[in-house]
Amino acid sequence: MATSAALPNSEARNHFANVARFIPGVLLLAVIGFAGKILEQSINGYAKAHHLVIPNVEYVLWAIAIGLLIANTVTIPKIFLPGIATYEFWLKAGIVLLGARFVVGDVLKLGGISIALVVLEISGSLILMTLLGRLFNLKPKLTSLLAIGSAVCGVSAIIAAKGAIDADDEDSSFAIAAILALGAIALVTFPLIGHALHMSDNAYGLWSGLAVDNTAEATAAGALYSDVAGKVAVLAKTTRNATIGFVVLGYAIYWASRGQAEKVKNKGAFLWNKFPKFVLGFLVISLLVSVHVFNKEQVGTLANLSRWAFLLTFAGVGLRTNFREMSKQGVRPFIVGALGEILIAGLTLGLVVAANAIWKL
Amino acid sequence: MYRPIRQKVQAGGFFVLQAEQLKEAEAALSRLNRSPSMSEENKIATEATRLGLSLDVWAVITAFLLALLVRVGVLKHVPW
Repeated sequence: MATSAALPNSEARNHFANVARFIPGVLLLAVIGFAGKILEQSINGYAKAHHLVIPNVEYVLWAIAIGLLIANTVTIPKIFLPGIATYEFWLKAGIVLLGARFVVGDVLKLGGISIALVVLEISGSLILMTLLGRLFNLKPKLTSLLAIGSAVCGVSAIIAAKGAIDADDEDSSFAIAAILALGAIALVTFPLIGHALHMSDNAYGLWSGLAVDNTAEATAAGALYSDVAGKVAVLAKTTRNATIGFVVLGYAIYWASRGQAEKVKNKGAFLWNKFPKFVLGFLVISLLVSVHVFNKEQVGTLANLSRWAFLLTFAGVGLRTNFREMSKQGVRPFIVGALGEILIAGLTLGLVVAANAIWKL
Repeated sequence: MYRPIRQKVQAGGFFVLQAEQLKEAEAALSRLNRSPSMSEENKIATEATRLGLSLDVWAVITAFLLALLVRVGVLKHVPW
């Protein structure tokens, strides 16, 4: 009796301990994100009160900068790590809730343009990265991982592909480090280029969603430009994410045909397994808003919840970007990644400019 | 009924298996430690999957629950 009564108690304690270990890190994300928001408001308030003209630095950049400063100057205590790693969970929940800010018509119009551009971007990126990998004599599977990471969706795509093509842990670490380092660079360079070229919010958002690899960085790069650009960047990036299964399946079949990976038995199950479900969640919320399931105030509340979720994500982007660790991964994959990214950024910029000329984004 | 020799073999097998698992776990851990920026994210994604659903699905469920709370009026106004 005593044992059976004690068992549920200990299970409950385990569940509580399991959830509790995320709390310190999530609180740290919230504190950093909120500090970024307060900094933006305070500086703007001070400038206004003293009639100063200073450029508006968005909370996104403050949150990332504070996170970067912490991650690269002190060793983050282990107690915070599980919670910090939840930033991807907040990103995905935020994307689903962002669906509230799109009516289905917007999704179809911008999503349709995105699909056309994504197909061109993916084909171009895969070819470019494969050629560069061969040119720099990278290991073939590392080249595949870099190509998938830069063509589709950064870290998630590399993790999805790693198992499917039976790549080494070391190769995936190289590819992930290169993609993350380049994402951090994009956060600084993309808004500068966008402003220099006087890009519209829609055009810039589409460009960052197409060219920046990791979803968190693409969202941040868009939001750094403007709220609307952030929204469009997420839509374009989500369209890219939706193709992950097809690209990884293609590579899995290729490596299996060479006897260097397991054969894919059920292609339908494979595609569903790799498909990012938050894309469906985003579409469902967008559909519900379009058929007026939520009133105007509720839509505003959902949009704000999405912004809070992204706030935690941006703090996490800064906190997990550790340049010291990235530099340990070696310079060659980084050079290949950087060259590839510059070419892809140029290619996608050309595509967006052409789309803008045709469809007036 | 009691067969000590067989028990001993089973126990030996069990410990050999446990040692192998421990070795595998140590190797996996050392691999994870080589990519510190990803290890925690991998662990969380794996744990989420262990509960029968992927991290993606948990994020969707959380977002839908929040949307439901907003719809039924439990979450009335969230300021930004």
